[in-house]
Order: sequence, then C-alpha cells, then structure tokens
Amino acid sequence: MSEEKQNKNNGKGDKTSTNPIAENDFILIKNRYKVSTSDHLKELDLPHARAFAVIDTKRTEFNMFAYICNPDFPIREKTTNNMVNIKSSGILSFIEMEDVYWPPQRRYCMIVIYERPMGGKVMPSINAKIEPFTDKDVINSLLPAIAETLKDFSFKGITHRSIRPDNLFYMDKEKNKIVIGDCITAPPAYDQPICVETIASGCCMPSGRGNGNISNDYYSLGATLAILIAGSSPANNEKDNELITNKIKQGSFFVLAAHNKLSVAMVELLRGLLTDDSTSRWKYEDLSLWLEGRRATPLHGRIEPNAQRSFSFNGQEYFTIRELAVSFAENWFSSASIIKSKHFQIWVKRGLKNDILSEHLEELISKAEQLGTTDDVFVAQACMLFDPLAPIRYKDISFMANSLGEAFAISLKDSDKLNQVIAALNNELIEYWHEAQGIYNPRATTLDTSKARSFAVLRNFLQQKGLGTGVARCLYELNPVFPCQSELVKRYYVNHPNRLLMAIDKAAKKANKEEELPIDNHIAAFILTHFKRNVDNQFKALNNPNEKTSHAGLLSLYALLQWQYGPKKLPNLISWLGGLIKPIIGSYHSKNIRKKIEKSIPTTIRQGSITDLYTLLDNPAMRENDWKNFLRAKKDYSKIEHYIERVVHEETGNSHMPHIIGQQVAAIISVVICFGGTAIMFIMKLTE
Amino acid sequence: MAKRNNQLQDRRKMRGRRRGDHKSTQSILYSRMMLVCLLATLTWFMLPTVIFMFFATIPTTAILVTERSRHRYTWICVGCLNVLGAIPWVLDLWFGRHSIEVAFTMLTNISAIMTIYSIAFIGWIIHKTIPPIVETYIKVSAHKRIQMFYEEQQNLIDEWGNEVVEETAKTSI
Repeated sequence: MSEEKQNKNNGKGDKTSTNPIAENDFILIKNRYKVSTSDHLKELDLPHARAFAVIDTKRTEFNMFAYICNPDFPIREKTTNNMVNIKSSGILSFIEMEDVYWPPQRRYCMIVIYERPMGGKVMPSINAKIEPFTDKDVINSLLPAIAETLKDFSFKGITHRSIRPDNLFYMDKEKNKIVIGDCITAPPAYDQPICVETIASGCCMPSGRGNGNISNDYYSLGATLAILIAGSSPANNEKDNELITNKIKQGSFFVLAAHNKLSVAMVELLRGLLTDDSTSRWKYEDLSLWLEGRRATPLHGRIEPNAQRSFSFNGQEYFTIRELAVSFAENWFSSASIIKSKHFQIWVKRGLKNDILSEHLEELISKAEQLGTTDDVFVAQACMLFDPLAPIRYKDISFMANSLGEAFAISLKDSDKLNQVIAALNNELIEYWHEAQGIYNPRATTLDTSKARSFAVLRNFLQQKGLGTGVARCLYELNPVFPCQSELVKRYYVNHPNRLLMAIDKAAKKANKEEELPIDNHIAAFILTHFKRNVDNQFKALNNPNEKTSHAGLLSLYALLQWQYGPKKLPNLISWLGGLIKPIIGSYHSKNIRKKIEKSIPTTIRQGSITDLYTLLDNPAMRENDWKNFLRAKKDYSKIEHYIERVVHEETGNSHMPHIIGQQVAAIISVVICFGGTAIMFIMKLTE
Repeated sequence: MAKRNNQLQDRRKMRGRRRGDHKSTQSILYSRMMLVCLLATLTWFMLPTVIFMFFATIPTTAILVTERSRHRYTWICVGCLNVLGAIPWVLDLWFGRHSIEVAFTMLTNISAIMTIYSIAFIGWIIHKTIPPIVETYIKVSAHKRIQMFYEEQQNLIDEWGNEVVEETAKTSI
C-alpha cells in the first residue's frame, strides 16, 4: 500500500513539471518513464493489453507508449530476454519493462514500454476494411524490414507468433514505414485469428498454440500479406471450423489468397509463405531472393490425399482423414464407437487405401481393449494417429505439446478445462503425440524450462499431496516467469522469490491472521520451483500434521528466504508469524526457557527480522540443553517416585521396624546408663 | 542325567546344612561351657559377690526367663539398670569385708533390696517409654521426608510441566 501511495504522490506532487501527463496521475518506471494512468491510447490497444501514453523524463521529445499486461497471463520469458537485443527496424523498439502497481486495476501489472508508432495501426481490427496494399507497398514498406526482423528472431532461436494485420503499425505519420507489434504481453499466438495461423496451430485453443517455430511466423506473414493485399480478411464470414476444413481440403493459399487478383510475383510469394507443408515453406533466404528480384516456379501446396469414396459422419461426407480427425475432435462423445467400428476400419483400408494407417488403427483398437483405455483417451490417441501434425486434443482442450505450461496457466480459472489438461498429462497423451510424429526425438519427453525435467516428474507432482505439490507446482515448473497466483499475493505480481516476502508483508495488513496462514499451496509451489537452495527439510516439517512442527518449518523457510533475499524488516509478516509461534515455544520442555523466549519476543518482533525470530525460537544449543535437562528431570522425578514408594512401603509394609528401633534405642540408653553409673561410682569409691 | 545331577546337588546342600547346624550347636556348647567355667571360677574366688548378685538380679533373671519377644531387648534394659542398682553394694563388698556373712547382711537389708529392684524397674520403664517416642520420631521424620519429596516433584512439574509425570507413568508401564 505504501507503494501505491508513493506512486500516486509522485504523480500529484510533481507540480513544477511542464509535462502534460505529469499533471495527471502517473506511474514511474525505472525512475525515468512516466506512464499515464489516464491517457489511454485506444488505437494502439491489443485484445489483452491496453495502451497508455509514456513520457521519457530524460528525452521528452522521444515518443513512447506502454502496454499494461494482463497479470493472469504468463508473459513470454525467452522472447522477453531476447527482445532487448533485437535492434531491427521491422519491429516496435522495445524500451523497458517493469511490474509496478497499476491503479486502474488496483494490482501490480507488468508494463512494457515501446517506441510509439505515430501512424497508428495498419489495420484497426481483423474485421476492418482498408485500402488494399499494392505490390509496391509490400515490396518497399513492409517486407524488407519485417523479413530482417524475422531473420533476427530466427537467429536468436525465438518466434514472434503475433504477426497479424492488426498488430502492424506505421512508425511515421506519413505511413511509409511498417513494423510488427508486440509479442510478449500474451502467450504465443494467443490473440491470433485462425486465418493467420497454420492448420495445426488453428486447431489449438488460443492458449495452446505454443511457441512453434519460425515457419509459423512466415505463414502468419503470408496470411497477413494476403489480407492486406485484399484489403480485408477473406475469412470474415467463415466459421473457425469451416476455415480449418477448407484449408485442409483446398490448401491455405487457395482459401486466403486465390480469390484476389494477384500479380505473378505475389502469387509466387504467397504460395511460398502459405504452403501448408512447413518444411517447404519459404524462409528468410527465399524471401531475400524474391526481394532481389529472382523469380522461381511457384510452389504448389501439398493437399491432403482424398479417399475414393466418402465416409459419412455426423451427417456430413468426408474425403480426407485429416478432416475426419477435426470432426471427431468436435463430436467427441460419439467418435469412439465410430472409430472402433468395422465400417470405419474398412473405409480406412479400402476407401483411403492407407494400409499403414489401417494397421496402426487396428493395433490402437486392440491395445485399447487390452488395457481398458477409456473412450476419451482412445479418441485423443486416434485423432493423433489420423493427424499427427495437429495438436493434442482431449475433449474440449487442444494444445501443442510444447505449450502445456500456457495451457495450465490459462485454464487455471476454468476447473473443467484444467481437469482436462491434467487428464491429458496423466494419460501420457503428450508422449503419445511425440511418438505419433514418427521421428525419433530424444528430448521429446523432457522439459528444458523446468526443474522437473520430464513429464513423468510432473505427473508425480500431481499425485503428491501437501504444500508445494499438485497443479500449482506444475504451473510454476512449466511457466518460470509466471507470477505467483496465491490469492494472498496475486495483486503484487510476484515473479521472483526475492519479492515474495515483501508481498506477503504487504498482504499481511489486510489478512485474516487468526484463520489464515501466511502460506498456501501456490506460495509453497512457487518457492519450491524458484528458490535455489534445498528446502526439503523445511517442507517436510511444513507438511507435518503436528502444528508445532509445521509452524517451525514455515518460520524456518521464511527465515531462510529473508536471509537470502531480505528485506531486513518485515513488520506485518513477523507479527503474523508471531501469532503462530505459540506451539513452537511450547515445544520447549522447560517453562523457564519458554518464559525467557516469551519475554524476548516483543523486542524481536519490533525489529522485524524473521531470521532473528527463528534463531530465538530454534536455537540448537538451547534445544539440546532443554532436551538433556528434561531427560534428567524425568529421571529425577522417577527416582523421587521410587524413594516415596520405599518410604511409604517401610511405613506401611514393615510397621514393627520403628518399634524395634525404639527398643534398640532403649537398650542402648540402658547400657550407657549402666556403664556410666558404674564408672562414676567406682571412681567415687576410689577417691573416698 | 540332569535329574541325577540335581539330586546329587540337593544331597550336597543338605550335607552342608547339616555341617552348619553341627557347627552352631558346637559353638553354643562351647560358649555355655565357657560360661559355666567362668561362673565356677567366680564362685570359687568371689562367692559372696556371686551370692549377692544372684539374689539382687532376680528381676533380670525373671524377665530373661519369661521374655517371649523375638529380639529380647527387655532383659538388657532391666538387667543394665538392675546391675547399676546393685553396684554400690558390690563395691562395698569389694572394698570392705568380702564375706558371705556381709553379703547375706546386705541381702537382708530391705531398703537395699528395694533400691536395687526399684532401679531395675526404672530399666523396665525405659524399655516401655523409649520405643514409642522413637517410633513417633521415626514416623514424623518419614512424613517430613515424603513431604520434601513431593515438594521436589512439584518443583520439577513446575519447571518441566506434566510431561515429566506422563513420561514417568509411561516408562513405569
């Protein structure tokens, strides 16, 4: 909250500035860039990121704007890291990014600053109509710079995945220079319309399209060019399914560009870029040759082989297996029986004349019967068998194998979808997809971005119980820069453990300290994923059902985090933890030690150091002494108990003993008197 | 074989016991013979004293004969005081004329006999009064000790809590 006030004060207090934004509220980024919270640039908005004006306090003449990212979406880490180094003229210049408190949303958001395109968007929206681009526009203003940019992307090993007409901008007011826009504010291809995506990517749900490879960007570039040349999208009136089916049947070039009046050169360019076979699709070398004026024979797209006779399913006739796979995925619950039917198997063998596929299908059916595979898993496997290039499809979800992380992140709020993603992972559909590609890939089942390293480990996380396991763990393992989604700290955009304690400290002000704990499954999973040190012992203690052990584990974990990352003072969090330490103090046997600790706690809490609190509560030497002395006390108590028993036994069990002792004493007294008296009388007699 | 070994061992033990019994009877016999010799010697050399002491220590002899308790401390108490009461007359005999006549004269002196017997009675009183006092003292001191132990236990509970007791209960179970 203090930051919120500070930010607002920064804006309102700066009265001396002549900057027009400074008069309104603003957010300061990196102590240099002022992002206006009121100057909304609607014309630059993206479907999931709003644009706001920015002033560079050091170079006021430099025009900039900022995108406010949706904090529920994972940003693209690898692309973000490389954006700084891409200085090509075909893309919006990336200036800076930082997560700060954004007052309109009342939470922390990632803000990405770009150089402002003064000419606005090339196409306001995908459904808009613009003046068609001429060959000259494409060759002079658009293609050279963008081709260079894609070359840079390819060189860095990253993809853009957001090339579409409404993400192209005119950098100058004269509208001569065109650049491609942002690609990091949303998951890869999340906002892409299906018409600019390849058939496989178009079959995916938006969050499941994945990073793909650079050929996906060249396809999107080709589709974008086709739309710009036409002046509008040819798919405006078509449904998504129809568009995909048409692309499968006729090829992408035919669907997107064939109805335009195109020059031979443009036909060659668009055929090259819109080829559905990614291996023969044009890349930078082909584009540069084309720009240099070398013309080649136009490519003819490889269209899916048609069957001799159609297969009727769901009231429609299908001639290709790929179309059928799309239809099976759409009519999920009626597909299993059809795929298993003899009628379909005969069609594959005789109608499609694909003996290999027929054999594989028979094998799949017999395997499913042997293993008792559910219909859902069977349909998913069958769809992958029929169309290996398509994504993993399972009920309502469809995602590429490398976009499992995004699928987890975006499905987080939709429990049905999330369960389906989990089911796909648990049923090893990702591994099956890699097998279906028919190419040996030793890294297919490994995860580079994750500590988990393999899908098997992720499945293990899902089966585990306790803090730091389950979906949350998979989510952070697969999305290394995704902020912590704990309800406690969600609004503070915690994407690194060094900010976690500060966020919990802020959240502690409003938290219900009596009923809640300052940790939940998301925070635990986030720490386990990102914290470099071994915290297995802390988590073992945390997951212990005994309150004193679990609270000690929590304190130890947070003490370790504070020691590693700071800050030195966490007044709110420590007072919250202070309320949980009673069982830890109670774990000491000695009441004197407990009193001593209780006496020191207020001072330690005032100092705000969890590390000090932990040291006070869990001093190994003190604990060892306490245990040793406790054992000694137990022994002493037991010894005394035995003494008492003996004394009581002597008193009750052997009641004559005191009387006998009394008689002995009487006898001794008599003897002493006798000898004493005799001696005295003898002496007296002698002295007479 | 084992049975036979056991039988042999039992026989050896029995023989050992018999040998022990034989030894103790022998020692008693020796000590009694020694006592008879001593008395005979005393009678030979100190007949008046022996005669006087025989009659003076009649209470002691009576208690020695009649006492049935296991530890037989009564005759020691009475005997000691009885001897102490007789000592002044015995000294008179030893330092005066040591004759049977004088011994009988003393014995016929009623006040002397009464004094001797009264002092013997004091011995009996000591025997009767001291044990209850000692007994009471022992009981009180035992109670005090138990009280002290309870206090120590309470101190341990105050310092370490009931776990000390529970743990003790557990270990004792």
